[in-house]
Amino acid sequence: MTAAVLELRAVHARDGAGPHGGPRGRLMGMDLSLGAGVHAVLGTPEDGTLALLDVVTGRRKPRSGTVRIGGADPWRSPRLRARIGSLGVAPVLPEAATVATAMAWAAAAARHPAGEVLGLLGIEQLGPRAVRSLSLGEARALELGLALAIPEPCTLVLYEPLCDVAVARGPKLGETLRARAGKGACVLIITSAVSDAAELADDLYVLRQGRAIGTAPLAASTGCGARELVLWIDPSAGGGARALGAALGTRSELVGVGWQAGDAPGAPELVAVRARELEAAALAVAEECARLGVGVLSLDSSAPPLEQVVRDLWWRSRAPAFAPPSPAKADAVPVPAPPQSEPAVPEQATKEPPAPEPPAPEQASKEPPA
Amino acid sequence: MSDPHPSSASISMPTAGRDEGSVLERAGAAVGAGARLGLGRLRSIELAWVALLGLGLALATGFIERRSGSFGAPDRTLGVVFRWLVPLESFAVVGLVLGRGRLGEGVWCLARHGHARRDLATGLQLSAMVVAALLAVATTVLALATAYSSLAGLGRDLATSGWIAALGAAAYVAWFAFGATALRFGRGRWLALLGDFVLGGSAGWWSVPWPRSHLRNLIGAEPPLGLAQASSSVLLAAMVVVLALLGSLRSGD
Repeated sequence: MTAAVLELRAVHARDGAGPHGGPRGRLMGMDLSLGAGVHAVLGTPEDGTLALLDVVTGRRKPRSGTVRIGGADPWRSPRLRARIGSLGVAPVLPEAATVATAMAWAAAAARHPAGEVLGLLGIEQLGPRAVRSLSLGEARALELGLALAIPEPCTLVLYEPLCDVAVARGPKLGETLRARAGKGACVLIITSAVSDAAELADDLYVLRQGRAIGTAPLAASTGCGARELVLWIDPSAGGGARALGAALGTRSELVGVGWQAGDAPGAPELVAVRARELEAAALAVAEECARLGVGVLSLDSSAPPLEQVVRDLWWRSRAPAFAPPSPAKADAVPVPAPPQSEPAVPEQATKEPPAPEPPAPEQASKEPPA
Repeated sequence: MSDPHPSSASISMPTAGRDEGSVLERAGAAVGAGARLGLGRLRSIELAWVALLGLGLALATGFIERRSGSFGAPDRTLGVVFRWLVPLESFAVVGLVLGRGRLGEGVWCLARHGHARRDLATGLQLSAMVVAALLAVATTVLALATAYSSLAGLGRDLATSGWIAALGAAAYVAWFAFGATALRFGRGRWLALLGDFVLGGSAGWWSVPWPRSHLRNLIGAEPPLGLAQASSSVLLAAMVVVLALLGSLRSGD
């Protein structure tokens, strides 16, 4: 158990993101204690995620309760705020004429060198641009760069860091955040996407109606640790989904395999796999597809929706003796409906829309189909 | 995305001790940053429109008063300028500097990176005071120059009215910035404007806190509580200092 870096005690707070500056969400006596590491808080703005962002960054003072980072109050301590990196919903950049000047102002306030902010994310070309001309994604990328450029951060608070962030280089944000956490920083990912939490964080806290209702290590939790990969298969090549499912059933990288025949002759078939490591699963699928000559029309990854995680946590808290009815516990792999058009792989990190409620698979088992 | 800080040094938490740079040095840097921020916000087309409107009204006032009778025209013109134009111009300047927010929120873009809110707010108010004072002086000078039918006495009147306008504008900015620390979106500055218009126009004790009563005294109208003009000047200067400090302190940190 590491020493707590970030501590919230009975915090009541509200944001100003509602209509006419009113609150959209509130914290209702939230207690939270986080040490060094990458943590995710899962919830919606109505659950108080924006209020949490505001009080942790020191933008707003809690109505009651205490917020401490390394023993200091972020609302009161400018010196502490210089070591808090944050990425908000709406970027708040220094209002200088150009991006380069704004970065210099921010660096001067924090007393660290300004040179590497733009280069960190491969957005050096934004330097001469006017701050007012930036798109939302560009401005958020700058905020993220400013947060990551802090030499010795106490805390990094990132709101939806994989959404609307126009970075030019490969999304290796997870590695960067873990490096910060390895140096003792408390990294807090605030998101409503289970997939983003699973990709970036080590453990998960669910925020519901202003309170943290549960926590679980992501890798062994209610399904958020297991990642799903869904493939639409060309039935005319290499034995189709049935053969691929059989082959994938023998792979140790996967924890679940399911397949479903097409609705009509010649229609695309589905194969869904679940694994702890998405990259390992993709590699296994690629190897088997190449070996069998199976044609993949499209593939997509999905994660359980927020509501399911909340439901599972509720089950665990109310009836710990019973396993929650979670797809992660069962072998069955939910298979989402095929998309209307082939999903494009975005060059930049963007949020995928939540997957539709999946229909039951025709067959789903770790055992290969006969 | 590469890690620019690959070393694995452990992180020390912030302590009460002082790091590099003295407190005064940090405060000075923050005040300067706040002033730069304010001047940057005022470098806008909106301020040009405010100035154009204020100067146009000053010109029209001076011209109308001179046409209606040259005797007492400068005094009547100054009455209009100090009652209406200077407060409204100062209000507009504060609005441009703060936008739709409270004083503390208006400096968050720099406060989040490590500057103290109170120091940034001080710099922001200073920049607004300077710009509002310059605008008030220009308005007063133009109005007086138009209202005078001859050059006799104009220079002295310009000098006297100029510093009164500058001091009055600074006091108004301090009041409006202090008001902007209250209510959602800083709407407390509207209360300050209303209080000045309603209460500052009389000569009772309740008019003493408002700049309007002292400006009226300084241009020769009825003084609040029978105060001397020198006392009104001192009170205006005290308003500038005290309200600006209170506004800064109320903005956080």
